[in-house]
Amino acid sequence: MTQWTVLYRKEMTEMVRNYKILWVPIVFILLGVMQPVSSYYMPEILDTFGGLPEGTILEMPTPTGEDVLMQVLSNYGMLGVLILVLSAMGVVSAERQSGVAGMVMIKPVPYSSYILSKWAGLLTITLITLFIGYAASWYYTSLLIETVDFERIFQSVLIYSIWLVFVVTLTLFFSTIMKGNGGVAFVTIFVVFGLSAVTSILGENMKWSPAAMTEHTGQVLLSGEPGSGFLLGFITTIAIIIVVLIASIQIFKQKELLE
Amino acid sequence: MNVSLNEIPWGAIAPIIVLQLILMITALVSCIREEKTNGPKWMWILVILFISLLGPVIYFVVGRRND
Repeated sequence: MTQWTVLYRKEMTEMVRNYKILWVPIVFILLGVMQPVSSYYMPEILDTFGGLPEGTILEMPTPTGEDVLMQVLSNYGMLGVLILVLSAMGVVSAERQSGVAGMVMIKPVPYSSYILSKWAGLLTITLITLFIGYAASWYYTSLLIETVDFERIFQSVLIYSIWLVFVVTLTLFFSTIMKGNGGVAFVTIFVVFGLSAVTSILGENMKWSPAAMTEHTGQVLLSGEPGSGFLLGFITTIAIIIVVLIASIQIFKQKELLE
Repeated sequence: MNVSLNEIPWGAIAPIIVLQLILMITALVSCIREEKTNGPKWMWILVILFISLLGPVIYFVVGRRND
Protein backbone atom coordinates (compact mmCIF):
# COMPACT_ATOMS: atom_id res chain seq x y z
CA MET A 1 0.00 0.00 0.00
CA THR A 2 2.77 2.43 0.87
CA GLN A 3 4.51 1.61 -2.42
CA TRP A 4 1.31 2.41 -4.20
CA THR A 5 1.13 5.77 -2.43
CA VAL A 6 4.68 6.60 -3.46
CA LEU A 7 3.95 5.71 -7.07
CA TYR A 8 0.73 7.68 -7.02
CA ARG A 9 2.55 10.69 -5.63
CA LYS A 10 5.12 10.35 -8.40
CA GLU A 11 2.27 10.40 -10.92
CA MET A 12 0.87 13.59 -9.44
CA THR A 13 4.26 15.39 -9.28
CA GLU A 14 4.81 14.47 -12.88
CA MET A 15 1.46 15.97 -13.86
CA VAL A 16 2.38 19.17 -12.06
CA ARG A 17 5.78 19.22 -13.68
CA ASN A 18 4.51 18.87 -17.24
CA TYR A 19 1.71 21.35 -16.50
CA LYS A 20 -0.97 18.77 -17.26
CA ILE A 21 -2.76 19.62 -14.05
CA LEU A 22 -3.10 23.18 -15.34
CA TRP A 23 -3.76 23.04 -19.04
CA VAL A 24 -6.26 20.19 -19.27
CA PRO A 25 -8.72 21.78 -16.79
CA ILE A 26 -8.30 25.20 -18.41
CA VAL A 27 -9.18 23.79 -21.81
CA PHE A 28 -12.26 22.10 -20.34
CA ILE A 29 -13.33 25.31 -18.62
CA LEU A 30 -12.97 27.25 -21.86
CA LEU A 31 -14.87 24.59 -23.80
CA GLY A 32 -17.62 24.63 -21.22
CA VAL A 33 -17.86 28.40 -20.91
CA MET A 34 -17.84 29.28 -24.58
CA GLN A 35 -21.04 27.37 -25.27
CA PRO A 36 -23.35 29.45 -23.03
CA VAL A 37 -21.61 32.65 -24.06
CA SER A 38 -21.95 31.96 -27.76
CA SER A 39 -25.58 30.85 -27.53
CA TYR A 40 -26.37 33.96 -25.49
CA TYR A 41 -24.81 36.30 -28.04
CA MET A 42 -25.87 34.35 -31.12
CA PRO A 43 -28.43 37.00 -32.25
CA GLU A 44 -25.83 39.78 -31.94
CA ILE A 45 -23.16 37.69 -33.63
CA LEU A 46 -25.47 36.98 -36.56
CA ASP A 47 -26.40 40.65 -36.66
CA THR A 48 -22.83 41.83 -36.87
CA PHE A 49 -21.17 39.18 -38.98
CA GLY A 50 -24.01 37.28 -40.56
CA GLY A 51 -24.37 39.54 -43.59
CA LEU A 52 -28.15 39.22 -43.47
CA PRO A 53 -30.07 41.80 -45.46
CA GLU A 54 -31.36 44.81 -43.57
CA GLY A 55 -34.65 44.19 -41.85
CA THR A 56 -34.46 40.41 -41.65
CA ILE A 57 -36.29 39.28 -38.58
CA LEU A 58 -34.85 36.18 -37.06
CA GLU A 59 -36.94 34.16 -34.73
CA MET A 60 -34.26 32.53 -32.63
CA PRO A 61 -35.70 30.37 -29.93
CA THR A 62 -33.64 31.02 -26.85
CA PRO A 63 -32.21 27.68 -25.80
CA THR A 64 -33.05 26.48 -22.34
CA GLY A 65 -30.29 26.02 -19.80
CA GLU A 66 -30.59 22.26 -20.17
CA ASP A 67 -30.07 22.51 -23.93
CA VAL A 68 -26.92 24.55 -23.47
CA LEU A 69 -25.50 22.11 -20.95
CA MET A 70 -26.28 19.20 -23.24
CA GLN A 71 -24.35 21.01 -25.94
CA VAL A 72 -21.46 21.43 -23.53
CA LEU A 73 -21.47 17.72 -22.76
CA SER A 74 -21.52 16.84 -26.43
CA ASN A 75 -18.51 19.13 -26.91
CA TYR A 76 -16.80 17.28 -24.08
CA GLY A 77 -17.74 14.06 -25.84
CA MET A 78 -15.85 15.10 -28.96
CA LEU A 79 -13.09 17.60 -28.20
CA GLY A 80 -12.89 16.78 -24.52
CA VAL A 81 -12.39 13.08 -25.14
CA LEU A 82 -9.82 13.90 -27.82
CA ILE A 83 -7.84 16.08 -25.42
CA LEU A 84 -8.05 13.60 -22.54
CA VAL A 85 -6.86 10.74 -24.74
CA LEU A 86 -4.05 12.81 -26.26
CA SER A 87 -2.89 13.97 -22.85
CA ALA A 88 -2.97 10.44 -21.44
CA MET A 89 -1.66 8.46 -24.42
CA GLY A 90 1.93 8.16 -23.20
CA VAL A 91 1.04 7.13 -19.68
CA VAL A 92 2.72 3.73 -19.87
CA SER A 93 4.13 3.54 -23.40
CA ALA A 94 6.32 6.65 -23.08
CA GLU A 95 7.70 5.47 -19.74
CA ARG A 96 8.55 2.12 -21.26
CA GLN A 97 10.34 3.74 -24.14
CA SER A 98 12.34 6.13 -21.99
CA GLY A 99 13.26 3.34 -19.59
CA VAL A 100 11.58 4.86 -16.55
CA ALA A 101 9.23 1.88 -16.29
CA GLY A 102 12.22 -0.45 -16.26
CA MET A 103 13.86 1.59 -13.53
CA VAL A 104 10.71 1.44 -11.41
CA MET A 105 10.11 -2.26 -11.95
CA ILE A 106 13.69 -3.27 -11.00
CA LYS A 107 12.64 -2.55 -7.45
CA PRO A 108 10.25 -5.07 -5.93
CA VAL A 109 7.14 -3.22 -6.96
CA PRO A 110 4.06 -5.28 -7.77
CA TYR A 111 2.94 -4.87 -11.36
CA SER A 112 -0.57 -4.17 -10.14
CA SER A 113 0.61 -1.24 -8.01
CA TYR A 114 2.34 0.31 -10.99
CA ILE A 115 -0.69 0.09 -13.29
CA LEU A 116 -3.18 1.01 -10.57
CA SER A 117 -1.18 4.09 -9.58
CA LYS A 118 -1.20 5.17 -13.22
CA TRP A 119 -4.92 4.56 -13.35
CA ALA A 120 -5.56 6.50 -10.15
CA GLY A 121 -3.50 9.41 -11.48
CA LEU A 122 -5.51 9.47 -14.70
CA LEU A 123 -8.74 9.23 -12.73
CA THR A 124 -7.75 12.16 -10.54
CA ILE A 125 -7.01 14.50 -13.40
CA THR A 126 -10.04 13.39 -15.42
CA LEU A 127 -12.50 13.90 -12.59
CA ILE A 128 -10.99 17.21 -11.45
CA THR A 129 -11.09 18.43 -15.03
CA LEU A 130 -14.66 17.36 -15.68
CA PHE A 131 -16.03 18.74 -12.42
CA ILE A 132 -14.27 22.11 -12.69
CA GLY A 133 -15.14 22.55 -16.36
CA TYR A 134 -18.76 21.56 -15.87
CA ALA A 135 -19.13 23.75 -12.78
CA ALA A 136 -17.80 26.74 -14.72
CA SER A 137 -20.19 25.97 -17.52
CA TRP A 138 -23.10 25.69 -15.10
CA TYR A 139 -22.17 29.02 -13.53
CA TYR A 140 -22.10 30.77 -16.89
CA THR A 141 -25.32 29.15 -18.00
CA SER A 142 -27.16 30.30 -14.90
CA LEU A 143 -25.62 33.76 -15.27
CA LEU A 144 -26.52 34.25 -18.92
CA ILE A 145 -29.42 31.95 -19.71
CA GLU A 146 -31.23 30.36 -16.82
CA THR A 147 -30.53 28.39 -13.70
CA VAL A 148 -30.57 24.65 -13.99
CA ASP A 149 -31.46 22.51 -11.04
CA PHE A 150 -28.33 21.62 -9.08
CA GLU A 151 -29.55 18.09 -8.50
CA ARG A 152 -29.78 17.43 -12.24
CA ILE A 153 -26.36 18.91 -12.80
CA PHE A 154 -24.89 16.75 -10.10
CA GLN A 155 -26.51 13.55 -11.31
CA SER A 156 -25.64 14.19 -14.94
CA VAL A 157 -22.00 14.91 -14.18
CA LEU A 158 -21.75 11.73 -12.10
CA ILE A 159 -23.14 9.63 -14.93
CA TYR A 160 -20.95 11.38 -17.46
CA SER A 161 -17.86 10.82 -15.35
CA ILE A 162 -18.40 7.03 -15.67
CA TRP A 163 -18.07 7.37 -19.44
CA LEU A 164 -14.88 9.41 -19.15
CA VAL A 165 -13.41 6.94 -16.66
CA PHE A 166 -14.12 4.24 -19.23
CA VAL A 167 -12.33 6.29 -21.89
CA VAL A 168 -9.17 6.85 -19.84
CA THR A 169 -9.11 3.22 -18.71
CA LEU A 170 -9.13 2.24 -22.36
CA THR A 171 -6.31 4.69 -23.03
CA LEU A 172 -4.28 3.10 -20.23
CA PHE A 173 -4.94 -0.35 -21.68
CA PHE A 174 -3.79 0.55 -25.18
CA SER A 175 -0.85 2.44 -23.77
CA THR A 176 0.19 -0.78 -22.03
CA ILE A 177 -0.10 -3.05 -25.03
CA MET A 178 1.25 -0.72 -27.74
CA LYS A 179 4.50 1.10 -28.31
CA GLY A 180 4.03 4.40 -30.12
CA ASN A 181 2.15 7.27 -28.51
CA GLY A 182 0.41 8.24 -31.72
CA GLY A 183 -0.82 4.71 -32.31
CA VAL A 184 -2.24 4.55 -28.80
CA ALA A 185 -4.20 7.76 -29.31
CA PHE A 186 -5.41 6.68 -32.73
CA VAL A 187 -6.64 3.25 -31.66
CA THR A 188 -8.29 4.57 -28.49
CA ILE A 189 -10.11 7.33 -30.31
CA PHE A 190 -11.13 4.94 -33.05
CA VAL A 191 -12.60 2.50 -30.53
CA VAL A 192 -14.30 5.20 -28.46
CA PHE A 193 -15.91 7.05 -31.35
CA GLY A 194 -16.74 3.77 -33.08
CA LEU A 195 -18.52 2.57 -29.96
CA SER A 196 -20.42 5.85 -29.66
CA ALA A 197 -21.50 5.69 -33.29
CA VAL A 198 -22.61 2.05 -33.14
CA THR A 199 -24.46 2.71 -29.90
CA SER A 200 -26.37 5.65 -31.28
CA ILE A 201 -27.25 3.79 -34.49
CA LEU A 202 -28.39 0.56 -32.88
CA GLY A 203 -29.95 2.29 -29.88
CA GLU A 204 -32.22 -0.32 -28.37
CA ASN A 205 -29.84 -3.24 -28.83
CA MET A 206 -26.90 -1.47 -27.27
CA LYS A 207 -28.30 -0.58 -23.88
CA TRP A 208 -25.41 -2.35 -22.22
CA SER A 209 -22.85 -0.23 -24.04
CA PRO A 210 -20.73 2.22 -22.02
CA ALA A 211 -21.46 4.85 -24.67
CA ALA A 212 -25.12 4.68 -23.65
CA MET A 213 -24.00 6.56 -20.52
CA THR A 214 -23.76 9.75 -22.56
CA GLU A 215 -27.40 9.34 -23.60
CA HIS A 216 -28.49 8.79 -20.02
CA THR A 217 -26.67 12.00 -19.13
CA GLY A 218 -28.85 13.90 -21.55
CA GLN A 219 -31.97 12.22 -20.21
CA VAL A 220 -31.09 13.17 -16.66
CA LEU A 221 -30.54 16.77 -17.70
CA LEU A 222 -33.84 17.02 -19.54
CA SER A 223 -36.16 14.99 -17.35
CA GLY A 224 -34.32 14.36 -14.11
CA GLU A 225 -34.42 10.60 -14.64
CA PRO A 226 -31.98 8.37 -16.53
CA GLY A 227 -33.48 6.43 -19.43
CA SER A 228 -34.50 2.80 -19.18
CA GLY A 229 -31.70 0.31 -19.07
CA PHE A 230 -29.45 2.60 -17.09
CA LEU A 231 -28.63 -0.04 -14.50
CA LEU A 232 -27.64 -2.56 -17.16
CA GLY A 233 -25.35 -0.04 -18.86
CA PHE A 234 -23.89 1.02 -15.54
CA ILE A 235 -23.08 -2.53 -14.48
CA THR A 236 -21.51 -3.54 -17.80
CA THR A 237 -19.46 -0.35 -17.90
CA ILE A 238 -18.04 -0.96 -14.43
CA ALA A 239 -17.45 -4.62 -15.34
CA ILE A 240 -15.63 -3.66 -18.55
CA ILE A 241 -13.49 -1.15 -16.66
CA ILE A 242 -12.45 -3.81 -14.12
CA VAL A 243 -11.76 -6.42 -16.80
CA VAL A 244 -9.71 -3.97 -18.86
CA LEU A 245 -7.69 -3.01 -15.78
CA ILE A 246 -6.95 -6.63 -14.90
CA ALA A 247 -6.03 -7.33 -18.51
CA SER A 248 -3.66 -4.34 -18.52
CA ILE A 249 -1.90 -5.64 -15.40
CA GLN A 250 -1.61 -9.18 -16.84
CA ILE A 251 -0.28 -7.97 -20.18
CA PHE A 252 2.11 -5.59 -18.50
CA LYS A 253 3.59 -8.55 -16.58
CA GLN A 254 4.39 -10.38 -19.81
CA LYS A 255 5.96 -7.40 -21.55
CA GLU A 256 9.65 -6.82 -21.91
CA LEU A 257 10.34 -3.71 -19.89
CA LEU A 258 13.57 -2.65 -21.47
CA GLU A 259 13.45 -2.40 -25.20
CA MET B 1 -23.66 48.12 -36.40
CA ASN B 2 -20.78 49.15 -34.23
CA VAL B 3 -20.43 47.64 -30.83
CA SER B 4 -18.88 50.19 -28.54
CA LEU B 5 -16.44 49.04 -25.93
CA ASN B 6 -18.82 49.81 -23.09
CA GLU B 7 -21.46 47.47 -24.40
CA ILE B 8 -19.26 44.42 -24.18
CA PRO B 9 -20.09 42.66 -20.94
CA TRP B 10 -16.62 42.47 -19.46
CA GLY B 11 -17.83 40.57 -16.43
CA ALA B 12 -18.58 37.56 -18.62
CA ILE B 13 -15.78 37.93 -21.14
CA ALA B 14 -12.84 38.87 -18.90
CA PRO B 15 -12.48 35.45 -17.21
CA ILE B 16 -12.29 33.79 -20.64
CA ILE B 17 -9.53 36.14 -21.75
CA VAL B 18 -7.65 35.65 -18.47
CA LEU B 19 -7.84 31.87 -18.79
CA GLN B 20 -6.58 31.98 -22.37
CA LEU B 21 -3.70 34.18 -21.22
CA ILE B 22 -2.82 31.76 -18.41
CA LEU B 23 -2.84 28.91 -20.89
CA MET B 24 -0.63 30.82 -23.30
CA ILE B 25 1.85 31.89 -20.62
CA THR B 26 2.12 28.38 -19.18
CA ALA B 27 2.82 27.00 -22.63
CA LEU B 28 5.42 29.71 -23.27
CA VAL B 29 7.19 29.12 -19.95
CA SER B 30 7.18 25.38 -20.56
CA CYS B 31 8.45 25.83 -24.12
CA ILE B 32 11.27 28.17 -23.16
CA ARG B 33 12.41 26.06 -20.23
CA GLU B 34 12.38 22.87 -22.27
CA GLU B 35 15.83 21.88 -23.45
CA LYS B 36 14.63 20.45 -26.71
CA THR B 37 11.22 20.46 -28.31
CA ASN B 38 9.93 18.40 -31.19
CA GLY B 39 10.80 20.72 -34.03
CA PRO B 40 12.32 24.18 -33.81
CA LYS B 41 11.59 26.11 -30.67
CA TRP B 42 10.94 29.44 -32.38
CA MET B 43 8.21 27.79 -34.40
CA TRP B 44 6.46 26.58 -31.26
CA ILE B 45 6.69 30.04 -29.71
CA LEU B 46 4.98 31.49 -32.78
CA VAL B 47 2.32 28.76 -32.71
CA ILE B 48 1.61 29.40 -29.02
CA LEU B 49 1.46 33.16 -29.48
CA PHE B 50 -0.62 33.40 -32.60
CA ILE B 51 -3.06 30.49 -32.60
CA SER B 52 -5.35 31.23 -29.72
CA LEU B 53 -6.51 28.33 -27.56
CA LEU B 54 -5.49 25.66 -30.06
CA GLY B 55 -1.84 26.71 -30.24
CA PRO B 56 -0.92 25.99 -26.61
CA VAL B 57 -2.91 22.75 -26.70
CA ILE B 58 -1.09 21.53 -29.80
CA TYR B 59 2.21 22.46 -28.19
CA PHE B 60 1.42 20.52 -25.01
CA VAL B 61 0.30 17.46 -26.95
CA VAL B 62 2.89 17.34 -29.74
CA GLY B 63 5.68 19.76 -28.93
CA ARG B 64 6.92 18.41 -25.65
CA ARG B 65 9.25 15.49 -25.46
CA ASN B 66 7.95 12.92 -23.05
CA ASP B 67 11.10 12.08 -21.18
